[in-house]
Amino acid sequence: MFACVYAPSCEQATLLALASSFSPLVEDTAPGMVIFSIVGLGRLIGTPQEIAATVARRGAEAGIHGNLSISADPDTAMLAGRHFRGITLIPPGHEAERLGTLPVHVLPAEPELIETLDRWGIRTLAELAALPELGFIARFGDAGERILRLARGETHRSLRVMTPPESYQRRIELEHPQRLLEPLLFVISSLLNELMQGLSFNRVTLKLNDVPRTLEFPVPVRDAKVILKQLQFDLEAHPPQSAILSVEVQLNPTEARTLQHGLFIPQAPAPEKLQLTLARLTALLGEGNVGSPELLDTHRPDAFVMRAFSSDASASPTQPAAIRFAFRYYRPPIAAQVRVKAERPVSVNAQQILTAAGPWRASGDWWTTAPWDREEWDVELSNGGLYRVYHTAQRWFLEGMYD
Amino acid sequence: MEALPTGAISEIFGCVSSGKTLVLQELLASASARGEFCAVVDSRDAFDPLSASRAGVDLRRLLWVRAGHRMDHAFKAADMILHAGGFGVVVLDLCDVPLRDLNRIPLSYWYRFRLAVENTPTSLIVAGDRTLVKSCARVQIEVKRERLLWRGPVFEGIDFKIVPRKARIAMANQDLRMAG
Repeated sequence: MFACVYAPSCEQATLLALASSFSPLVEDTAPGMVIFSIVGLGRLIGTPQEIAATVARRGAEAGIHGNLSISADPDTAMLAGRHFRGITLIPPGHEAERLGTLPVHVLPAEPELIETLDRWGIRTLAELAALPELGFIARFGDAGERILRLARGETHRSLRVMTPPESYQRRIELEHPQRLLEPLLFVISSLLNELMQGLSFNRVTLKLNDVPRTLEFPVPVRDAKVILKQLQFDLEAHPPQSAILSVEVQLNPTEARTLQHGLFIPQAPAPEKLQLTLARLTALLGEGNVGSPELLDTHRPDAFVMRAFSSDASASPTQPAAIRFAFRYYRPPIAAQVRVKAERPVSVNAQQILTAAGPWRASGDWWTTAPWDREEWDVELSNGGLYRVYHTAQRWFLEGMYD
Repeated sequence: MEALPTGAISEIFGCVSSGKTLVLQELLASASARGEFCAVVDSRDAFDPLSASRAGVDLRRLLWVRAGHRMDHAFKAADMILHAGGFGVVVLDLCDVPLRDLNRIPLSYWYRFRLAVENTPTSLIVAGDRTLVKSCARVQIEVKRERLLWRGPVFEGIDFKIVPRKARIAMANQDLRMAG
């Protein structure tokens, strides 16, 4: 048995909520109309009349004002709900009789077919239902068979059950406030294991006491342990400010990553292992100390930013310059005691300068609030090393060593 | 410069301004040219991305780990990277580390690293001012400065030579070549 609720002025979500409160088998038939199965409600509520009364009362409480029809055939219930005001109960076997008074133009058919029926003098569903089946189908084909079945209440189709949108979200309220990390991770782990079940996700949002923290992953993750470890590092780095009363985990599903390995392709770090390793390194060394350097387009020395390292980075080969030295920085630069004679440095930190090249003057960012300018010297000291010193703001600094 | 042996520890050492950093960068550039990912564990935060880029290192495929003058962090980081795997060259830069800190490095660390890289396609290169790895290194190379190259008042470069201090001749199917 099926029930149809027709309320064109009502929100579809309200209708679906009403139907879902009675049955999990709900069809989102059309705007303003839902059909749901009432099989099994006899034991809970009673006769179809009682069921209809209950549905109507609950609908009224929800502000739904429309028509309700109950029938053994969903399409019959649909037609009755759409065209009969109030509550309509159609006992099994009486569909054609009950629908008979409806005009043929209520049927979902091509206008030409309806016009043909009208010319034949067929104006009601009862008259249509009385036509010989074989001849009608031979004349009009599948469309004719469908409207004939509708008129007789014999479609006996299955509901197109609406599947609720998947929600990858779980929440648990703790009985006692939790202050320790280990038990909290145990709770989070159980939620993750329940949600993941072999699917891939690229984002996790953890809400502790409704305070969210989100982690995104550069590659889809299928292993709950990887996500749990990342969350552990995040919780250790940014611990919650109070005892935890509720835990909610929300995952964002994504398509799994497929890889075609090649025989001659150089090895690369496995993405899942790399994620974990980078998280561990960041937890050990701090943000900004792990990554790939990217040079900035400026003349300012030692200008770079740290970017996230990824094993997906495509190769960007650079043509090596014809150079015969490399540089090692002292970070931060070391304040130096430089003795100057005739405007040339002669010693650095009491070490005699054997050879000095310079000054090389450089400046920049003068249009910003942080301009810089300096005078650089390459100096060879008595210890055999070749260093770069620079003079700025009345002070000398040892910037690094050529090696 | 050709590659050092994979699945083993190689050691590069030299005095100040000997050219060892240039040798390291050329090794990283060779790995970049082969399409490999590299990692630099920088114990003294001395790595210069600009000179590395000029040497031909692909910075996008370089993982730079700045240990912030903490030796223990540098070793932990190197251990994590070696166990993660997937890198063609891993450089543990211990240049300019004070001698008292170097003397505190337990020998067991090197055995652990040697085990970690064994039978992997990763080359672990340890760079320093002096030899550290001892018997755990399959190859030891000293970079010796011949002279500094000056063209008038301009510093042009370092003329150096590479002296193998220990180089076990590998079996026929392994790759071991050095050039100076």
